[in-house]
Amino acid sequence: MSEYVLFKHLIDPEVRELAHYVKLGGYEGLKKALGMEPVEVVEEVKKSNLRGRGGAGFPCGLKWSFMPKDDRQKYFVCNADEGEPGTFKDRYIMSDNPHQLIEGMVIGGFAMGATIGYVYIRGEFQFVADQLQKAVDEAYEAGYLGKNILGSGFDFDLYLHMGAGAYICGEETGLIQSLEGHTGQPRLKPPFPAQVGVFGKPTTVNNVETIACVPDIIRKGANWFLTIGPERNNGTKIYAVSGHVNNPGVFELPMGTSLREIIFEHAGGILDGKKVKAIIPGGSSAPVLGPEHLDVAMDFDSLKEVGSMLGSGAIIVMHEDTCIVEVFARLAEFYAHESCGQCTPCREGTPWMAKIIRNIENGDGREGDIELLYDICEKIIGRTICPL
Amino acid sequence: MMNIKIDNKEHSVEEGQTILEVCRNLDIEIPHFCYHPGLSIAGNCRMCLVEVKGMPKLMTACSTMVQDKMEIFTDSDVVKEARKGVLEFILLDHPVDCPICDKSGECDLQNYNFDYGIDQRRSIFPKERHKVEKISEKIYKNDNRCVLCTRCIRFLDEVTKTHEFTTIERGSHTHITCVDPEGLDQNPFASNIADLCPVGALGLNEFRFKKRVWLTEHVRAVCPGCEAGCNLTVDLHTKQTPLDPNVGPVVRFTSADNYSMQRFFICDEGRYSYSGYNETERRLLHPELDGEETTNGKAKAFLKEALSSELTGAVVLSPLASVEENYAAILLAEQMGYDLYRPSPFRKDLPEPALFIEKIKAPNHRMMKLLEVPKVTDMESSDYGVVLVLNSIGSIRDNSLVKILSLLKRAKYSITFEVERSEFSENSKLALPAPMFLEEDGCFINSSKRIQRSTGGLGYPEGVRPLWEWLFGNRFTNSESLLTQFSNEKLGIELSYEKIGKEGVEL
Amino acid sequence: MSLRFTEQDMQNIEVICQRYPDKKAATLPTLHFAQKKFGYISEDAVKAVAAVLNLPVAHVLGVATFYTMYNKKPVGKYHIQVCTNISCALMGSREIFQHLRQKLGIASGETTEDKLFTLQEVECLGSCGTAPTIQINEKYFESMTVEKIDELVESLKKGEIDV
Repeated sequence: MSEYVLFKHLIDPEVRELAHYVKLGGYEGLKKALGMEPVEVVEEVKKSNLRGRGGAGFPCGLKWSFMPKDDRQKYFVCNADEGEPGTFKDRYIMSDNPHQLIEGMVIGGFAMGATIGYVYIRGEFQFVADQLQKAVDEAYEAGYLGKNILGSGFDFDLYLHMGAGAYICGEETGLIQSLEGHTGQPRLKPPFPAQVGVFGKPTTVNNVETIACVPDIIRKGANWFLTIGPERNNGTKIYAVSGHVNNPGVFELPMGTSLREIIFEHAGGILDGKKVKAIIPGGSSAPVLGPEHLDVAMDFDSLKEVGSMLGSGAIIVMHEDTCIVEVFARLAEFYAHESCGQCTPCREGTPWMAKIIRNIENGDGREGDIELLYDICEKIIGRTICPL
Repeated sequence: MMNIKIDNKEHSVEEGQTILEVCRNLDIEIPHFCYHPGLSIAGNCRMCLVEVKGMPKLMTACSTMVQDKMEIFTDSDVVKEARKGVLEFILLDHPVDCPICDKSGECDLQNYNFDYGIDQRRSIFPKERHKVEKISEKIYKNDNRCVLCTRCIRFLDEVTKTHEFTTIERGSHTHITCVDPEGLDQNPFASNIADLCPVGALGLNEFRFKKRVWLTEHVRAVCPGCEAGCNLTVDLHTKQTPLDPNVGPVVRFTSADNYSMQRFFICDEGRYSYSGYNETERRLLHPELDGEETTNGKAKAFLKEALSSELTGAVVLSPLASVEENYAAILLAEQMGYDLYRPSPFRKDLPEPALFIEKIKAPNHRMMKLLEVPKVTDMESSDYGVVLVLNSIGSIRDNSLVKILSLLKRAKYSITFEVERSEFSENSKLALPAPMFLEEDGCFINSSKRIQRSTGGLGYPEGVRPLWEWLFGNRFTNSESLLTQFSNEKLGIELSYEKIGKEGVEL
Repeated sequence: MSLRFTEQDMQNIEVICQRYPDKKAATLPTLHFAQKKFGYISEDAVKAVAAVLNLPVAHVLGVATFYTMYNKKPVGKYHIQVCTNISCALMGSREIFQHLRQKLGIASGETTEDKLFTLQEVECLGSCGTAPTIQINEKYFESMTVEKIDELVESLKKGEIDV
């Protein structure tokens, strides 16, 4: 078994409590970081090849380095909106190992000169937020948050902000809009959040899992992180497996573990011993793979090579009895429902697609529907404000 | 300056502009719905997508800044295809009810679809239907036609800051709603949202089913309502069809963009003032001598007699009359050695919000201030033998009015140049019919000393002639020659109508 | 009758506001607060939130209608939200949803006459590993089956459990 970087609750089930977390080396990374220059912390994260776990896989250290080095107020925002269908990983970090996220937030804040952090949690996760809030209170009490953290002179405040039911708030500028109290309609870029982010100030938004990787990278060094997973895709990854498997759940494994190993060894294989028909490897936005791709390594670059994406690492498995058209109809309805309605192609195109697919599913398909669907896709992709 | 290429043609352009702004200045059409020069950039309609060399995706021309050596394509196949796509999406639920839509003829969607759009509907699904609402006394809303460009919302949020509109729901259920109809009626700029709407989703109740816009002629004018000098597009009714009720001749005022002033809106008071120009009951169309209609010849004879009487004289200018008309009167005063006076303009408290509305309710008061003409109320004696008063009723204060009346009553030769029968014409020996706003070309100097030209689209009615013709016969062939002489002699610069152009010149 | 926040409520909202540099940012949390207090986000609740935060009604209304968690109509004592997104659908949530529709005799978005249950089909609840997932008020019920939901509804009716 590989080591747990993120799921420390599998080592110590009580790790959500500060004392237990500290026993496992918790907040050592923060102490070390506070003894470094902020730019050294950024460099260390860059060196670790840590890539964003939210979906895009953008290098985290590079993103941090975009933050300007002036004396404007800066913000560090954690994306805990977890709304991509099939994704259910971040909630376990927040509820079972919350201090690691908090520690990562403080380190990131220090590295980027941000003194205020927000964790944007999807509204449905009130019970998760309650756990995280408890840990935040503990951290304030112990001096890991608040003024003059550990006598370093660095201040960092952390607040939780609950969403209210909108998938689009997982997109970073939609999230920023929502955090500012607006509808979650994504913004035009440029300006990028590192220049004009939340409340008009420089902002970095990272996913929960990404931020939670940071404490151990600092504590053990980037070189240690580089020993896990394939080149340029380092670290462990939480794979969330759902659908037609015997043992669905979340599994922290080295990045690049094969799809076959994840499904058959960790998730217990296919229900009723049936055959795999299709797999969505990275949350519902990732292109679907067939059984011929079972041996693909589940990392950013390998999945890109086979025409899909790692996304959030959410694996949805469908067995031979699944009606793929029904699945697509449901997903298309989801995207139509969650379109923010701001820009024309997505607002008008997604419901049209959903209606066509539902018609096909109902047996009312018409000749040319498939070509029409392709054409509509082409008229949406790359022509909208946000990349979702 | 930097060098860019648009559609393989090189251009040298100024920095700090978006692709759309650059193209607008070069007269290259970039279709758009959500972009508006007076509002923030939304980038939501996706109609202005263009190809930029080196960029993986099409870029919105409204939000992309030009950069040195940028190569832009506005008419490549992929751009055309993208426009077609956006139009198809918009038309999925659009009723295409152009025959009964008031925007028809000046509708961006109609025009773009004609130029770039689809010719066949590919969706088999029924269109969503919403009721047409009269949302306030002034405005109606037709959600079926709305393209959700959010110009109206941005106008009410950013310009008037009154926040009457918002979008509600999301996705394809998104629509625009008015949360404050009373507020909208009290908003002194509310009706701009009908101009702003690129389609027929928002309209004025007042204009609904009133006129097909293609039957009107458009002229550019300067609003005479106050000294802000807002630019108007005036729709004039020139043709009639049996299906077209007899309205006009002035059909409506809408806002005309003035980029130099960065002004793109007009107040509702100015907008609805158009109807006043259709009232002809009191109109003076013939000279009147002692209250009786007379011939031009007799009027001229009276004028000649007055001017050769060698009596003292006074000329009262008007903040309502154009630079040219006032200058004609000034020339007379200078030639004859008469005293020059100006009335004090009428002032009105500002509404909330006022934005650019001015307290002084006359379009050319600034001209008199510039020339330092003394006030008629400061006049020491009101005993003059010859008095000429220019049309200013409705735009001057009571104390000025009283003073002018006493001037007229005491003079042996009292002459007024009036649009309508008024207290002035009734108290003068000779009343000459004056052209009204929109009947002759003329310039006005606004509160920020910008001289702008207003077009006289209607032309002089029969019997009505400009003042300079009454005073100087054939010495001036047109109003422009007066303007040029005025600018040379009084401003020390050379101006022409061409130089003043559409947007005026700051003095 | 217009809704009002009490002195105590105002203080709580003030605490929320302190987390942000401006009051607009408190729109979402204050709407959550209002929903807890008033049961749902009525037009009056929108106005009350706008007033307490000194924001345009238009802004608050736009936000309240954009997000699905703000109920624009009254909901029953138990707001049953069934995820029918892909992972849950693969594990049979459509059947559970249909079953509930019949059992409660209401369609999605409707409330039973006794005001006990509101049924709603919702998008992914982020609990796909324990599909099908149902949320009742703020609590998640996971790995549901038709039998389990029957039991659950019965216990709720009898008041044996509370959420």
